[in-house]
Amino acid sequence: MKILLIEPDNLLAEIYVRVLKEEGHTILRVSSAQAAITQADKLSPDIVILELQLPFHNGIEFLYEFRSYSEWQKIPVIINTFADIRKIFISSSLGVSKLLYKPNTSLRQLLRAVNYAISVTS
Amino acid sequence: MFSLKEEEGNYLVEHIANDRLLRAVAEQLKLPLLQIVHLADLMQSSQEESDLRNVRYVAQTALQLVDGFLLSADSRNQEVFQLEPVSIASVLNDTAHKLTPMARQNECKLELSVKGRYEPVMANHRFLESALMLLGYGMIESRSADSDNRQVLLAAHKSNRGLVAGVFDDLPAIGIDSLRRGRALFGDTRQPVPSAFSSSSASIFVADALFRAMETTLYPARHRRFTGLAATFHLSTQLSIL
Amino acid sequence: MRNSFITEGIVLSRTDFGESDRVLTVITSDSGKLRIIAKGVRKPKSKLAGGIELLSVNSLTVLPGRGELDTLISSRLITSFCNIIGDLDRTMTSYNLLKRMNKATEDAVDGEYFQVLRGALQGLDKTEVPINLTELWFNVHFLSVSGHLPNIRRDIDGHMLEPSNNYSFDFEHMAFREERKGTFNANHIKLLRLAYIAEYPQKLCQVTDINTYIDKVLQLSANLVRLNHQV
Repeated sequence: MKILLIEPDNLLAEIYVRVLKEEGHTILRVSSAQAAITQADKLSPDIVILELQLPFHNGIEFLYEFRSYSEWQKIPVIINTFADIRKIFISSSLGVSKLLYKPNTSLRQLLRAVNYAISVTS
Repeated sequence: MFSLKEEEGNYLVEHIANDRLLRAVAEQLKLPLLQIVHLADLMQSSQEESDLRNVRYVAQTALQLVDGFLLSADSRNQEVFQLEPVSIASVLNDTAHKLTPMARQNECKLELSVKGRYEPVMANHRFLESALMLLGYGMIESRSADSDNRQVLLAAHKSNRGLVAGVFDDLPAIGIDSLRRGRALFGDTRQPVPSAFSSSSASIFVADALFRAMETTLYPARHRRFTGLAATFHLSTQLSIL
Repeated sequence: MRNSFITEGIVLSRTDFGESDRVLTVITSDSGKLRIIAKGVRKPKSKLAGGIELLSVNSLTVLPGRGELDTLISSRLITSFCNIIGDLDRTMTSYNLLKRMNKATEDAVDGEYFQVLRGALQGLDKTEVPINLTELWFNVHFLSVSGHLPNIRRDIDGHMLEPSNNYSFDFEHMAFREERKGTFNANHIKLLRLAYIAEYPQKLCQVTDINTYIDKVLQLSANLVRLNHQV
């Protein structure tokens, strides 16, 4: 599966890319919302993993822009964020597959979320 | 009618400021602690040297942040903090050495730019080194870039107001309005400087507090074609004679 | 001969259109709600910043179309609400307001809707104004311009609302009903009135003890918006 990883921290990104590659996925990593739109156009991702706390334009803006394109409306998006998800209400119209709070999410749980998104898509 | 005495009011203002800074620090510590957890997970199955090195580096940067905060909280304690003659060039040099592993980790080219000899300035060696380390930490690690071969500069130059020392890079400049807004918002919001940092920018605001203790202020500045954050130290003719 | 015109607008939504164009749904200060084609701004050129942004007020030069779609000739940014973009909660709330405004308005709406939306975005842009105050202000003013504001002076029987009484809300008659065990009291109703007369959301910050009453009043206003506009 082709995964678009939107993660601003380099070390975390390196870790996520490593474990996801070990599962056989192709990963493209970017660190900003604008780069994510540009690269999504080139990659045609099957799944997106998104940190909401991004510089310039945040993950919510990215998600609204992403979903405004018809060919991207059904792509599963997993939010994996440092933002306290108990305090943020994400509209169901944005089609978020899984909402993960990074401090409470192990690498194994992230992989499970990815596998679940794949199974739903298939 | 109850009213606060001036010193009580000042204490409260400082207490509230420290509380906000502590919240920003706590928010930023989520990242290195998570990095350590994930690295520990990876090290259970693989024995990669790089993972162990990363754990060490991550823990050290987190400790740097905590230490910087504690220093800033102690700035009123005369046993801890006093102004003294300090060689900016020497502190920048030491800081550059300590930041090199982080720069490498983040695929950044770190350079030192200190041309000529500069007179010592009145500052505090420990505070200045901590402030520059934290500035460096913020500019190298917390600024995202989708480009390779980023350049970061630890630099000093003379201006008509004194000696400017700071950390600069080749990313879009951090505006004065963004910095001002960030100063009003840190600790109360997740991203006080969203145009530049995806994090709580605690390292920048702890550095800010350390510079203020040394009676100077952090501000957006230029060094050659680079932009960044710096502080100005007044040059003293008496020190130059010494 | 079609003449172009200039108007101020806030983009409510963007969708794709053909290979390289985007259709923007815009609420304007004097030309109602428009659907405008912005040519050649898809994907790599689709900037989240610059050009025609969401969460901003833009000056738009528009060429009227023969059908339902007009064409965007040029745009200029007037106000960008950067404090909203820097805060996830404010961003989410803003998008919800845009969505509510889009769903609940037809094409021929007057400039008051634009003013309400702009006022709300200005409120969200002010970090010292709590989000729930701006939401309340938006809901009340949205209900007002759409003619669905409940009676905040008299109860269901036409009597003046009394400070010593408790009330429940009757959604069928869109009015308060006196009820001994009612959950709304004078302070809730006062807050509703203050939200109505406040020119901007920021004015509500001056109300003391607002935290005690805001949740219930906000819930009521949100329910009224949902009921009357199916959003």
